[in-house]
Amino acid sequence: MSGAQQKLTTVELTFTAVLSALVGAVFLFWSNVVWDLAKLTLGLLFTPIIYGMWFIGATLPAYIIRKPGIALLGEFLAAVFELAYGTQFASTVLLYGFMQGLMTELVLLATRYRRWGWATMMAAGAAPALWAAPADTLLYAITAPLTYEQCLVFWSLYFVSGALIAGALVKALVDYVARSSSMLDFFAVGRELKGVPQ
Amino acid sequence: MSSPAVRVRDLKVAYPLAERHVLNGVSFEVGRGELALVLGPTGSGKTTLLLTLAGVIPSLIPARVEGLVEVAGRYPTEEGLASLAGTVGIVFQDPESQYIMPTVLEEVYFPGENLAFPRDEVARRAVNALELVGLSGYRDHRVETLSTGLKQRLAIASVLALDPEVLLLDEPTAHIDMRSAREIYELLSVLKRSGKTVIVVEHRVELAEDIADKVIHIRGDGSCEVYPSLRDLVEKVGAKSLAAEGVWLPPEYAPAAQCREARGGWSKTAGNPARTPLVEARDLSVRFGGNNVLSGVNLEVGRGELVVVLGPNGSGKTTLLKVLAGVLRRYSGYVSIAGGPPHPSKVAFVAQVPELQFTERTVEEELASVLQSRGYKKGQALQRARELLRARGLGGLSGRVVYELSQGEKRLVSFLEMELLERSVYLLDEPTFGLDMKYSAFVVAEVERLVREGKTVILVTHDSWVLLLLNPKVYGLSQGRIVFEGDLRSLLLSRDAWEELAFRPPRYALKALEEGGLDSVISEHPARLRCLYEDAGA
Amino acid sequence: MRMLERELRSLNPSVKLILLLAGVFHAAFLSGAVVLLTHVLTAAALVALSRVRVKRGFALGALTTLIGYTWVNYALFVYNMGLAPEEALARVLLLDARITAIILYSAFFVGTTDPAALATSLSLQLRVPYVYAFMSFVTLRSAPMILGDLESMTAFRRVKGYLSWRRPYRYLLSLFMPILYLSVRRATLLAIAMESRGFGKYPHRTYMKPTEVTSRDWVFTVLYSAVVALGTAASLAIPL
Repeated sequence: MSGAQQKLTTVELTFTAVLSALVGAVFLFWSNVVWDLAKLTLGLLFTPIIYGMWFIGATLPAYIIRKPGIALLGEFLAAVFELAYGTQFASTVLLYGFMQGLMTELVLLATRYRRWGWATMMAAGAAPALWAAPADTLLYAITAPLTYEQCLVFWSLYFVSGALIAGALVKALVDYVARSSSMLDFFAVGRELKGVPQ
Repeated sequence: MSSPAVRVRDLKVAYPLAERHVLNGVSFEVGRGELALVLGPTGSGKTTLLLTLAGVIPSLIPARVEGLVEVAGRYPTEEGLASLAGTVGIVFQDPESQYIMPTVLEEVYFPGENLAFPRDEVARRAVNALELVGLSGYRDHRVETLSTGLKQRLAIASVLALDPEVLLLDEPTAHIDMRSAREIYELLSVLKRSGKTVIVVEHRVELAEDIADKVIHIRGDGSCEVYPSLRDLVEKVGAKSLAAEGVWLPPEYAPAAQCREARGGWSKTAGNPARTPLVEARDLSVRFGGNNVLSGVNLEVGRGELVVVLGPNGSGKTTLLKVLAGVLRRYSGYVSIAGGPPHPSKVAFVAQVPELQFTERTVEEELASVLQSRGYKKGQALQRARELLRARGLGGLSGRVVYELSQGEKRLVSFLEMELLERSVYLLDEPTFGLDMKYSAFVVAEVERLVREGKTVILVTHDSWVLLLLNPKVYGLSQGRIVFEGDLRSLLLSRDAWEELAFRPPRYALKALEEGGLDSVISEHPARLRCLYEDAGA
Repeated sequence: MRMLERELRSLNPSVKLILLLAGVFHAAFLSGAVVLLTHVLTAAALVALSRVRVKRGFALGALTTLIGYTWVNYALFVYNMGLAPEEALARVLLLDARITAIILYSAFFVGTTDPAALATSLSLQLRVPYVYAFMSFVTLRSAPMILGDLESMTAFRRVKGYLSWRRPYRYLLSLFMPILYLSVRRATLLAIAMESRGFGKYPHRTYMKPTEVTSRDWVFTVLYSAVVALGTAASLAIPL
């Protein structure tokens, strides 16, 4: 891809921003309803199996647009949404958004924004756990009542959940939408799936 | 002065993945201080033309462009949208999608800030722009609290902050009430006189007729023809043909001979007053976060009656429908539908934004899903859906993806799917919103059909003109209160209520009020108009 | 007091953010009782002095988080790690103190920061290119629209009777498609509206309402650091 193609257009920026509002709404639901439900039904140890949803702010727009900076921007803007809607973790949410977005961005950078297969997406989806797991442990002491072996299981679920929800599920969903309608034709994913020459 | 502000020669535009050209050999010139009106069927290249003139195509929206485009001495297709900021301004039909800042003042600061003007210059331009559009008193208001008419004026103000030479407007009145629409055209007239060049796409041509210096007609095949006036266009192209393209022509243009037989002449739809009303609201009030969205609303709709609730944006119309539909349960007062409390299963609710109703991918699947929810098997449901589409002359839409339909087609599909629920109460939320005349006529025909079948229809709208095509009982809603109740005739005679309801009938009705002939306006004209558009459109 | 409230509310958002984050990290790494008490008191003082009006949703969320946290941790300390109840309680209280401090800091931040000012501050103080920072405005603008759309969409599905017979993932997909479509449309129009008014034309721009780092911010930094330092010193002096 030529350098000019890699520059972000205003539409791609605004689309990421609007999508992040939707993602932020999902985050709110996930934090306030699903997290507590999971803790109750699955117990603390297995709760991180749902954690991956909080990484989709990075992977969803990045997979659609496929250009540098979108993963970071998307996850950060979703954090801004959460901030505005009064999350009780406002002081750290922006940092989480930035770092998680950065982790995905780094994975995509390593693939030069050219590989968008299942392996890449699952890696990109799991990457934010590199921030989230240590941060939750150190800042929120979330693993305080767990033994060391349990901690290992706990942390690994962050990665697994990220890979499955923010990686595989996002890819499957976007592929479906891009193929079955013309909504995403304007973006890179639509163009590539429908074979339009770049 | 000698060279035209806008010059287009042999413009051809084709979108990627499309075989034919949307614009095929368009040529015209518009001089400085002139206003050009652009007309054409839906899906023709009107919007494409404006986007090309602004430089959106091809810099933001990819497309193949050939030909010469020169605007105020610049070349949009080469320079792109961003470079033309300050020379060209563009305003779209949806005011909601055009502003980003929280307050009015910040919104008019925005352009000057972007171009890095010094602060006092940004402020000066902002204040001038607000004054020009008449929004000076709204400086510190939050944009989200403005009505759509004011939001549209704000969009124009923000564009004017850069003092562009050329102004492009794409159906600026499609989403706003008729009184605000009139105000916007008065503004355009002022701008034109001050030397700006204006190109506007508008299907309610009466608003632009007097100030248009030329009419550019884009035909279905992408070619164009320029006429010096609207009358000229109608003479050369023909009323029926233009009607098929969705232009709001006054009833004088309807050939009297063919349309004499008033199809579906309105029987006075006031039900038997002694019968208990099917839909009733008494002292209905709804409060949201400190605001009285509805206060003391009294409403009565008899079985088989057609009632229109007229009012500007923010008057609480949609909230009223939501209460009647049983989806909004926090209210005080008494509401009854068919003798019981409101419930979603009792009504058919057609949305203002059709996409919010859609759940499936293709049109037939969408209709089938409604049938399936009523117990049909998938195969049977699809079969019935296809039959229904064919019966209504919409067979061609069967396999199309819903999101790729035009606004008008989406609206018809949303109507159809609600009809499949076979309920007796219909709630229609701005059914002609954003539609041109042809599809508005289709909607009116649908409403007629429902009434003929004995359904009870409550229609909510700010569209004063469509009101004249029906002949309903009218409730006027303004800021949550009912300020008018009566039939269409009394509304036309109650001028003092017009202001609050942002009501303004088309010119032929105003003339009839002054010169007499009000009865024919109410009884004959609607049928003639509908005949003109249905024949042409069906 | 009014003046203090006003001053606290006029602090630069970036400065606040950085200091509060530093505070949170400090509380996390030196999680002794004295340090945590210092943070809880400081955070509570900030919330009280700036007269933050806590929204009901926030309070509810905070409460459920705290209760869930406390209860789960206590149970796990006792049954999972076999700690004696007194020790479990002590540990739980420490953890609660940490979470309370974070929540109170968050309340202070959210209650005194205007999102628009935050976006401006990101570009001016943290040197984020304004085309990215301004996307915050777009996200915040779209939020009520998207929430309104979701609400309407579920209402129409109830009218159509759609929920009762379809599997849940289909329902969610049926919500996602229209929202995506409307988002693409809005984003495109917004982008055109913004670019046509010069957005992104130059890398720098004028700010009519800039956020600045003033002496007020320096004073706050010094005071806050002093409080935190005192707390650290005290925790060293009083072993707990």
